[in-house]
Parts: sequence; structure tokens; C-alpha cells
Amino acid sequence: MKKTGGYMLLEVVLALSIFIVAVVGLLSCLKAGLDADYEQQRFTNTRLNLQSLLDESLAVAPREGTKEYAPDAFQVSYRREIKLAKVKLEDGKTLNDIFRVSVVALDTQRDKKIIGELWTYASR
Amino acid sequence: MHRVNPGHGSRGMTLIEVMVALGVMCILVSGIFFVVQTSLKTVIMVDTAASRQDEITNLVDILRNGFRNLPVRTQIVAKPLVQDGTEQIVLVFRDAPGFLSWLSEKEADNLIVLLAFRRDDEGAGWRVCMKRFVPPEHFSENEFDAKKLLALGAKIPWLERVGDFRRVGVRFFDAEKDEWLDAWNNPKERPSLIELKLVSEKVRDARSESSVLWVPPVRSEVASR
Repeated sequence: MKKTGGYMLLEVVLALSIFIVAVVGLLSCLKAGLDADYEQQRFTNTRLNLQSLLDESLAVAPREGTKEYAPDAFQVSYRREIKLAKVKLEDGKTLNDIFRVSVVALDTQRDKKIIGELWTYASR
Repeated sequence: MHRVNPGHGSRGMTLIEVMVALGVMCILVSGIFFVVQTSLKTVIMVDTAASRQDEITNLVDILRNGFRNLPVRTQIVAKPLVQDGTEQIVLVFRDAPGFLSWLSEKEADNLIVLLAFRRDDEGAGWRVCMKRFVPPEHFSENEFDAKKLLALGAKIPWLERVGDFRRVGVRFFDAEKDEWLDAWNNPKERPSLIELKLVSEKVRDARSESSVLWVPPVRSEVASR
């Protein structure tokens, strides 16, 4: 049989495999970049929402209770809890007009919880 | 002399083989080029988006801290208006030394600070701008109006903070009436909350950032003046 000097199947498969590995590597970099961008946006959005909830709590006189908020566009839901914080002073007296406001962002997709908190007087 | 016989044992490639090889190579190279180009574009886009996020969060943080630390005597009026063809939402702060800037010892008490969300003259987008000036001595209480103050400080250039917003919305919360308003016309009181809705222009898709900022209430002695 006459030898024609072509490539062996093994060589072709090897070359194609290297090419595919390189392309998959580049594509995964691409995906990682997009994911990072999405996560950044998600975190910024959550942070702004938590700060907004804390600021909203300051606008009206605090009242004990819990309020749940529907999930946002990133499927992060929020909860605000206002509790009377009975702060004991060194002389034994108790401050009864300080409230603890805590806001929680529940990221069910990432199984993460981000908490923000502030303390406010009832009679500002 | 050694002579090479082209027809015996040294077979070259035919034109078709060369063409096919070149075609395959072109496809592979263009594939790689496409992937690399897309990767680079993504890197640039992600970088731009991250910078944009930083710009917006910085702006919101600056405004949040500014509002939170407003001097007790500072009065606010705000309204959306169109002046000289420019659509804008103008927030006027009176007696606001140190607001959105370093507090200078020489800063006059009756300093006026204008914070404006202005649509670009060419309709390219909204910008967040500010300017500060001391009104003339004959400035009276009746002139504490966004439109009049805008005209009064017309010669002072705007200092642009952030631009390229597709849309900007500002609302003011009246805690007594429990309602959100598009303008704030009562300098004796302050809105309890100011809502900012910023929709970005630069990134691949429109991104809306909404923030609510608390404004401490005005003191009773200021309200009664």
C-alpha cells in the first residue's frame, strides 16, 4: 500500500482536543466574568435595599414588630424587625425608649444572609 | 550533479489540499479570534459595569451621609422643572454649610446649595450636578423658590458628579400625610425620606438602582422662623 503522508486519527483527535480545551477555557473565563458582574450587581442592589430599609425605619416613630418584604428582581427577600431594647445602665436604671432595628436580606439562591442594624430613640 | 525528479518519491500537495488546509485554518483562526474578542469585550463590559456600580454607590453614600448630617437649620425645597430647554429636578438647600463638601470656616451661613438631576442638552442622558453660592443681601424669604434660585445662580457653573443616566426619578415622603410627592414646597418642614431612582445608560442592559435616604426632621425653632 502506498504511504500518502497524511495525519493519523490519533494526531487529529489530539489536535482537536487541545483546541477544544483552549476554547472551553476561554469560554469559562467569559462566563466567570459575567457571573462576577451579576454577583456584584446583586450585592450592590441588596446593600442599597438594606440601607433604604434602615433609613425608612428612621422616618417614622418606631413600633415593635416584624415586616416581611417580597423578593426583589434578584430573588432576595427582606425582613425588618423592630424590638424594644431594654438597655440597663450602670446605676441599675433601664432605658425604655431605645429600639433595635434589624434588617435581614435572605438570598435563598445563594443560601446567604446579610444583616444590617441600627438603634434609634422612640422620641427623636 | 544531483537532479531531483519531481515525479518520483517527493510528492507535493495539490492545490485543492492547500486550499482545504487554508480553509480549515481560516475557520479555526476566526473561531479563536471570535472567542478572544468576545472575552475582551466581556472583560471591558464587566469592568465598566463594576465602575458604574462604584460610581452609583459612592453617589448614594455621599448623598445619604449629606442628608443625614444636614445642619438643623437647613431648609429644603425641590421641584421638577424645565428651564432653558433643560429638564431637571432641582433640590435647593438653604443655610447648608458643609453640605456635600468640606466645611470651610469662611462658609457663609445663608449658603445656598443646589443639587440638580439634569437631562443633558442633547438628550444624551441625565447628570447629577451641584453648585453653591451665597445669595445677594436683598434676597428675601419669598425668593426661596427653586426656579428663582436657579436663575439667581445661573452664572455659576455646575459641578458634575455622575452622568450617563437613562432616567432619574426623585420623590419626597411626607410622613404627616403618609404620601410620596414629586415636589417639596414647604421649607418649614423637611421630607422624611427622599427616594432616588437611577437607571444607568452605560452598561449592556438598563439597570435601575433605587434608594431611600433619610432626612432628619427640622427643629421646631427653625420651623417657626
